[in-house]
Amino acid sequence: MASVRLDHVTKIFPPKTIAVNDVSLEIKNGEFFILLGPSGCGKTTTLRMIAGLEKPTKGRVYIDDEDVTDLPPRKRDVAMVFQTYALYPHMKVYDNIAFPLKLRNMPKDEIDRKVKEVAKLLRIEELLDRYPKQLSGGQQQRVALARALVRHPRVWLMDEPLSNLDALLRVRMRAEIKRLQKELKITTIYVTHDQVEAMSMADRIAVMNKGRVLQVGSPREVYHKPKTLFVAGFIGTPPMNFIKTVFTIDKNEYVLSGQNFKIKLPRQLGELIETKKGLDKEVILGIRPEHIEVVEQPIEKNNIVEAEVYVVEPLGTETIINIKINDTIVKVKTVKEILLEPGAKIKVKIDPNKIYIFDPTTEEAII
Amino acid sequence: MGKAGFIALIILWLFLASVAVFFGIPLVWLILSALDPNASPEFKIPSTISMENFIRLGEPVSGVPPYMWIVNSTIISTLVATIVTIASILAAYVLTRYSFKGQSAMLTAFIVFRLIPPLILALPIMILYRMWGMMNTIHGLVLAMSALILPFTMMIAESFLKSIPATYEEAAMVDGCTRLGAFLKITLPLAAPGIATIWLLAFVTSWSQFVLPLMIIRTPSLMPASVGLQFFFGEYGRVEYGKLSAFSILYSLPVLIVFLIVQKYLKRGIAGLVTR
Amino acid sequence: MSLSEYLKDRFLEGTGARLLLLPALALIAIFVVFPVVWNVYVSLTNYALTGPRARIYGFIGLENYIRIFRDPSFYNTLRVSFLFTLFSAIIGQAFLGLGIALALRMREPEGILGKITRALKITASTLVFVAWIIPEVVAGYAWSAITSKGGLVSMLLGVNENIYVKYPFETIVVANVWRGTAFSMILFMAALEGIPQYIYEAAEIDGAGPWKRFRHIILPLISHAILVDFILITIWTYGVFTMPFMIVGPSGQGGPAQIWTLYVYYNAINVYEVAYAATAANIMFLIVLAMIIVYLRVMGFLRRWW
Repeated sequence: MASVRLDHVTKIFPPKTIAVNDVSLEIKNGEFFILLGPSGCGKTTTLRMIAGLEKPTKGRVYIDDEDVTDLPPRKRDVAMVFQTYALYPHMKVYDNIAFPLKLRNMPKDEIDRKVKEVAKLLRIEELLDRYPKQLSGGQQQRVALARALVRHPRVWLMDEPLSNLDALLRVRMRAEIKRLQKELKITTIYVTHDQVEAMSMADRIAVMNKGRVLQVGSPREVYHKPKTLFVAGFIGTPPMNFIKTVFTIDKNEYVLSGQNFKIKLPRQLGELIETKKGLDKEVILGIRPEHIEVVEQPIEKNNIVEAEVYVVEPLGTETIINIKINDTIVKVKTVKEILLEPGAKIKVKIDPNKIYIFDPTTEEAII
Repeated sequence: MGKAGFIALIILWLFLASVAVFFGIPLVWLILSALDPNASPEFKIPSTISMENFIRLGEPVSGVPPYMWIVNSTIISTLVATIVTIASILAAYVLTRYSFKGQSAMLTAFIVFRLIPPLILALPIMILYRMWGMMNTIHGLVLAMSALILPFTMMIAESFLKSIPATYEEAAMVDGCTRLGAFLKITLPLAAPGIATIWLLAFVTSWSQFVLPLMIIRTPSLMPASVGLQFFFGEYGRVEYGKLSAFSILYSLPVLIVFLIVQKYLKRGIAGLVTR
Repeated sequence: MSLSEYLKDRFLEGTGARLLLLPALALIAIFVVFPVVWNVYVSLTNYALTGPRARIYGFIGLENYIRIFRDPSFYNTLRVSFLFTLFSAIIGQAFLGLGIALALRMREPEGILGKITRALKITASTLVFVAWIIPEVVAGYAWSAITSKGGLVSMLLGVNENIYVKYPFETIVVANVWRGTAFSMILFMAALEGIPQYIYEAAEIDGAGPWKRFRHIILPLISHAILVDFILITIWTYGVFTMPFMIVGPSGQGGPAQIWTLYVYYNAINVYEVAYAATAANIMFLIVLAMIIVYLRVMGFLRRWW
């Protein structure tokens, strides 16, 4: 159990690939912390620097306030689950799990006790006598988890551990890993590109892109208060819609005006944008698909946008309607059963209390 | 089967049979003459089949019993194979597990070295050895031969280590190994079949090498089998065909056995040139 | 940090790792790179194998090069080497190898006919393979014997002479085809195996007959293999020494079969003119190098585009 701190860490791969760019993070004791981002965003490199498999070009890494930047992996007392599991093919499951303990010169009977204990925890007791090749993907995954858990490391590192499993198993293992982590209270740093995984497992999420950490917060925070356009677009399925608008005043009211629609903003919100950005400026309107409503008979004229149905994707419990507002495709999520043909003209209502406003140049959230 | 199909089959048979005959004749003659005490270039079934030629290999040829040449070849090839295996594995380890400047240039250079005809090197090595006093020395031959074979084994070692993911070593390091420990405990056991293959291929390549020993070993008692074999061609064009064939077969046996073992790997290596 | 700690943790992390390259690089530097350079130096002297010029030899500039370009025997060896490589590698090994590889992929009928076909395939391919792997001196010896007077070849041709004396060039060409075909065969087998079965099936459904299948499906799909094969066997055949040495001797039966490797050996060992031989070797090396560069370019191209 430990805390982990990254202090202005930068990793440059020669000649000049900046994989991680000035990242500072603080991971608390016992926390389930997830590094989330698209492939190539630097999340795995960050994790490998915590493990000691890569050395930062700049900055320091601390575990429990001890500077481990120059320590080799074996002296950091961390354990890691690899994306490919990295089970030693020439060792039986038992020996795979026992390997870290053997390296620490633990007496044989104690090793035996610990291996069996962790095998029981992960329900792989009957697999101990097999070779990794003889196991299914899910079983290999459990063995990898067991090997990482057996010596009660200070920090548990996981690099996309579920990405090689099929969808059904993935959902099951998600819950299982979370349960284990809560039960054992091990500080866990988990890398994934799957935002659903991140939302469902993490205590806190750090969203990364292009080597930088864009936002750190609880799943609720990154979902409800995205700080940047990227975070807003990355989290949530289907992703948030973005529409170009101009922020202006019309008939004494703050509005976002698009090509053929106007959205009236509450006064408070409007004043906030005015002070932060100014009037008559181009802004990006962000709205999640679930906050757009298809209306048949509009009662009011405001906040109604005319659109054309592009394609309809029924998903069982819900339906995703892709609509075209001018030239922008916008996704609408609805639980109502709606029968619509592509090309049909419809009207949708955008809830002004649920919108996000982004600056088109800095891509940062204005509100 | 239709008539056309049957004719096609006959043509296929004729083709395969002629291939077998063309490639088989020198080999069959070698076996027949080895068993014939009165062997000659003539292609004939021996009137009496005997092992006499093999037994008579105990008699000295040019003052040296032929089995000495086999012994020499064994010593030389064992040393060469061991040296190049170790050097190749070490170098391949660095080439596959680290990245540094000039790495791909180095791999390219090894391809170039591998394709240089041995004679191009044998001539200046002979000149240098005359200066260095290394003519007629086993260690001189072993070192030069190792250098000659190294580019070939290096490429095999490199492709072999590349096929073992570095993740295993990383996992071992996180589990508590040193970098060296991870290599020794994880990668080396996994690479064992590859290492054995490299050793065996290096052994037979060295075993068959001719140009280098021809140029730098002049003393009959120090010669490997490839060069010693020349002495069966007696003076005035008199050749002891029976004994020479018997010797050739004995000399070829280790090579045949090794290729039987590594055949699959070798074919995969060649296939690697055209498939991915 | 103690020394053992240092060795354990730091040594293999940084520059220390590169030390592991040392044995390999040292061997290559001393016994491959340096000799090649030394050969250039020797070619600029009048060094000889024996006699006074073996002990005291001097720098004579480009004299050897001037001499060699006036030497008819050098042009002879250039011509012989070129023809040897052309006939033996491209025309012989590559085409025969492709033919055998195709034959080995022919479908086997059911029943006893199939069994015979299969047995023939195994016998033929095994013999081709064995011819390739036995030590080159043994191959050379066997060929010199069967092309001797009274041997099978002289009987078949009805010539009661040493065939390798009467037709030295043809003998080494054929012998080298015998020796080297296996490589092309295996390479083409691999290339053919790399063509997925469904492509044949699709072609058959599209109504392509055997020839059209070969011409429009197989050939384009193995064209890269053919290219790689051509270049590699050309380089190897060009550098062949042992078998011709065993069959026709260093003089190449007085010239007609004196490929450049024999020429170099002959001048160095039989005529004692080592510096002159080195000169020839350098020129020939440049030719090999050009072929190797072509090979590297082609491989680089294939890796990128194919």
